[in-house]
Amino acid sequence: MTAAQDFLRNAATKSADLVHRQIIRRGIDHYDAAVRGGRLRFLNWQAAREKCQDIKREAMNHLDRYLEEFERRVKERGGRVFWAETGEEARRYILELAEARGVRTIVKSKSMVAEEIHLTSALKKQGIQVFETDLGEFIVQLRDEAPYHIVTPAMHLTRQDIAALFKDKFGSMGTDDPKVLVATAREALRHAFFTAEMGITGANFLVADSGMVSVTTNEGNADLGLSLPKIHVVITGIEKIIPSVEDLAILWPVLATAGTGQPITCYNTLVGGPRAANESQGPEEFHVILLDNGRTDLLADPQQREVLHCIRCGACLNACPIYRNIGGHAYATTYQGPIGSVLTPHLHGLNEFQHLSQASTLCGACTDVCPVKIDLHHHLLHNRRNAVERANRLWPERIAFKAWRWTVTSAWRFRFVGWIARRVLRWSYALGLESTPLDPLRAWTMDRAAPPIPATSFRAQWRKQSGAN
Amino acid sequence: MKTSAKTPVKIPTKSNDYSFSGQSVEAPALMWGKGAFAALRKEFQFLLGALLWRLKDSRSLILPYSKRTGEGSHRPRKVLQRFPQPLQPCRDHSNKNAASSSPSYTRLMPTVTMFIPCFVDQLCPQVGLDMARVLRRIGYHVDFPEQQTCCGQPAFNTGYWKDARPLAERFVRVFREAQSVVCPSGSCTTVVRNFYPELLAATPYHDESRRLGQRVYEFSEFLVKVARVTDLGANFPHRVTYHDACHALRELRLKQEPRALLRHVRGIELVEMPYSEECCGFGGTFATKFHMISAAMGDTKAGNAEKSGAEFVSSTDPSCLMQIEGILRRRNSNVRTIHIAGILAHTGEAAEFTLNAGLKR
Repeated sequence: MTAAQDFLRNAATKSADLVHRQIIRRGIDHYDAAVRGGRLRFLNWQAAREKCQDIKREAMNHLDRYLEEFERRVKERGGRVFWAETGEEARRYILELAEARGVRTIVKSKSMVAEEIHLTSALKKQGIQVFETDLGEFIVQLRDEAPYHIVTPAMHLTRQDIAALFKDKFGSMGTDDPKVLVATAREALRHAFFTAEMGITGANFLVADSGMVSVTTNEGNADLGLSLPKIHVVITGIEKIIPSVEDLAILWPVLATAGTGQPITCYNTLVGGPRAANESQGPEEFHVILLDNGRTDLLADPQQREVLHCIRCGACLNACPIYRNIGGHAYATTYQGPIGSVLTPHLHGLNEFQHLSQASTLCGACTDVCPVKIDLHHHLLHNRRNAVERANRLWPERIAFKAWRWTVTSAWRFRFVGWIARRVLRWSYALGLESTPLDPLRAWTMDRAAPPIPATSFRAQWRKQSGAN
Repeated sequence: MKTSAKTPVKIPTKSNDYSFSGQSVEAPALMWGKGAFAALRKEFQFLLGALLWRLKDSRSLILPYSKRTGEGSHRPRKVLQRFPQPLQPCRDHSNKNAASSSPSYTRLMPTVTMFIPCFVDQLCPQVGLDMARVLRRIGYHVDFPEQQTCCGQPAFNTGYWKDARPLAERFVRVFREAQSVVCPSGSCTTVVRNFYPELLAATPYHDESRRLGQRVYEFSEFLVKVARVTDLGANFPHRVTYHDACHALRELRLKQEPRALLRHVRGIELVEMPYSEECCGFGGTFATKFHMISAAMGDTKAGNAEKSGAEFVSSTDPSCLMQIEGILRRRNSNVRTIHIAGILAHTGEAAEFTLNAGLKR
């Protein structure tokens, strides 16, 4: 089964699931209210967006320079930087490192890049225990699921679902009091933090001028994960680079506001290397893996380069009416929602994932909320154009558009074909063929009533009026 | 131009003809049984009428030219119009060199050129007629170049830019002389204004399309921003909610304009629905390719419209309304849809109108 067929089936199931729709709606309503308040804390939200866009544009336009600067600084402090061209290379690096250091347990904080390269399953195959330490990720890991959302991975679950899950896994009381639930998870995770030999985190930003990795969480789990174990591995995409540490002054609050509506997230940590000689705590080894995995191809495309500006705040997912109806799992991709639909064809092949760009009404809600002003819905249009030019398409569709073009390039043909088509529709609906397999507008009338078909077109009526004069 | 009018044309609109797509009396009913027979009879009547019209026209073969074309009209014979004609740009009525056939006073009136999108032309003609009526009411001379067909949006949005390009070029050729173009759809306006320059990049039409795009307006935008009118003297004693069509809202940035127009309608009660900015799920080919997602989105929208307690959902885009009405009908809802032009054109009372009888099919 291809990815497109999978998507269609999942989407059909999910969009008919009213309970699911309600849960998501409730979650996003809370988010919307928080973000609306959050934006008011800015003197000028639009100016802040523009500033962030400028920062990221500058970083992308001089990516080579900033990345090398970052590498130099990290190496000066004794960290190691590995340039991974593909996900396979990045996985192998971590696996070899884990094997060489005899790692048995890994604590991992939330990282979409790790999801992108399927790191956890690769580690598990080697017999290494991996603990997701972000509460949401921890929950979806217990359920053996992929994250539902870039920022809030367990958004699709209610308190009761989680209570039932914890009862099943930990034999807890089954209460749905959030405090008790969090305490249960904390107890399970604390143990993991102290036994783990390696901590893996992602990065929200890589700061070039200071060689620092910025990690943002609300739970402090990443901070434990990067300070307690002996080895700290940062895995991140090359597009996370920003020029200067001063840029964080605007990027941190904007990320927090767009992501959750907070003024700033609870924990924003900058780390840049292993424990120094005069320091008492911290990891002994510090590795940064800079992953390409198709990103440089995107960089080479001047029209779509700005997709790399994404700071993974998840705002476009929450705004997307498609996402609100089918949820994150139906996409079956690492990145869901509008940014996923734009990015995935570039990362994993246009041919296989072109359906994601088609699955949009181009309503533009995503573009409106994007904190770095990525023109998301126009990139979907560009993806569609590229798909028609380069990917496999069904030949009936190509022929249909050729025929359509032939029809509408002449007013005479347009009128004639329109007349015939309206006759056909009127007669079939008069005979009661609506929503039957014989209905010419079957794809429309499966879910909706057919529009009433007028006997005369506008131009015929207009001509009649003008003629009557 | 053959469509130039001598006097403001009376448009035969029945006062209970509400729907955005203008159901006409001769529309066939949808059921088996006596409904089907009535529909067939009406269809037959229609065909007979068309035949008689042709017969009447054929008198032209024996009548002198002035009689068969009508005084002052320069329309060619009906028969000739059946055949393709060379593309003619619509006439600029402010131009002194304009053909002398148009009466002198219309040359003093400002002219708007109507751009009627293909699906409005074929599926909801009433929207176009209503728009013309409103524009005439505020003193515009309304022109309709019959060579227009489609702006190319279906192909463009699906990715078939190569097939959309000739349509875009054709659009520029047809409308290049127009002073201002008015369209009863936000998304078709968007394509012309925002996307043509990109679609026609590196073609000889690029610069012209950019200039033309600045003169193409969505209907409510034109009324408020160009004509600077918000009170159209309309009367529509119903509770109405407004759905923000995505392209009008986010590409053309029209949020207050249609609401300002609606607020000035006599007797209207404008109520806001929750999530009025959320997409209705139409999205062109999306509606059929991913019909289950589209239906779920439409269902949410229809539910919100019902929650608002409105009798009518109005919008700037007939395509959104087609989707919303389709879903509402399947929900057996009493809420109906009407294009904003339909409300603004409506001046009569609504006494004889009842929700379920009003929309015979």
